[in-house]
Amino acid sequence: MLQSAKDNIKNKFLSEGYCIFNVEDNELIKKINYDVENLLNDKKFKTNTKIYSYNESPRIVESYKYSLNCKALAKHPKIKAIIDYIFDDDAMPFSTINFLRSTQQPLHSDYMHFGTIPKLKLVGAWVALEDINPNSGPLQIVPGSHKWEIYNFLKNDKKPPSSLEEVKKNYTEYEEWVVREMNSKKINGTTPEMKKGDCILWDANLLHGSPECEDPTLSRKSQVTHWTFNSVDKHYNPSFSNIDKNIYQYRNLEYII
Amino acid sequence: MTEDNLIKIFCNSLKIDAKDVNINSKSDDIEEWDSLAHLTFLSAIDKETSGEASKIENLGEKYSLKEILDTLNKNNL
Repeated sequence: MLQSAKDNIKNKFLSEGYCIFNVEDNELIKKINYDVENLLNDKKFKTNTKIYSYNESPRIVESYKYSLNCKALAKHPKIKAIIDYIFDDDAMPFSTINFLRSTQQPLHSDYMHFGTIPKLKLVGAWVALEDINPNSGPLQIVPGSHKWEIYNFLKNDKKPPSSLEEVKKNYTEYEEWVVREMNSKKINGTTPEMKKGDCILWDANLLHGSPECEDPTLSRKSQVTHWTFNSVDKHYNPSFSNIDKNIYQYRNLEYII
Repeated sequence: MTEDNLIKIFCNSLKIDAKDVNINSKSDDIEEWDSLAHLTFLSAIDKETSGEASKIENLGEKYSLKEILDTLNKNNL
């Protein structure tokens, strides 16, 4: 990639919290779609925590453990090179989710799931595995929202949740906070057109989701990989951490190597 | 902490039917027992023990009810 193109991507990411480029690897994508189909047929997959599911379409987690092709996309050299360049750091992939259809998930940021010390050292890399139909519940983002304050689940000395119901309740409060902030700032999400092979990188705190879906029966094949960095000292789970008081529930990540 | 008490905390915390759980249950055996559920369960134990369980260094590394119970008991909880 030309230096000027890399700089444009970096500037876009830093100013708006996201950037889009194509991985130019259609052969790999074809193999991934085949592998995911087989995982589904064989029922050989793990799914995402139910409290973060908003419809019946399964989210396949850790597909890279079963498919070398999913793994190859998860650690794709072009994606890594761009993230490394943006952050001037050594990026490390650690989790994947494969989507078959829209998540219909409200706007949220990945930083509400994976916290880092130092802060905000996290990137999501979402790759379209087909041309995304605008009626399928496409990905929405809120440019610039990566600069918003970091939401604290345990503000006002709230105790860490001791049941999944409480985790869900706290998360719903967060989603409602996002809506209020969007309304008060008078901003709307945008829907980038995504073609097969397009990769959107979003910053740790960038709001994204798929809240609007005209036809949930349409496919929306995609794979997201989360990346952290070699320079990160600790990772924590924000749902159980009080960031205002520097009380963290640390977690160990399983890197994709 | 008794065996029955721990199982009750586990089932309440993760909304799992008690008939699907016994003291030998491990995270690998129970679909709902993922990383988020694990932290939630630990938080529930901590609440039950008035904050004492979170002081046990390696409790979070135990992924079977038996191991968790043994660790709690070794620490007089």
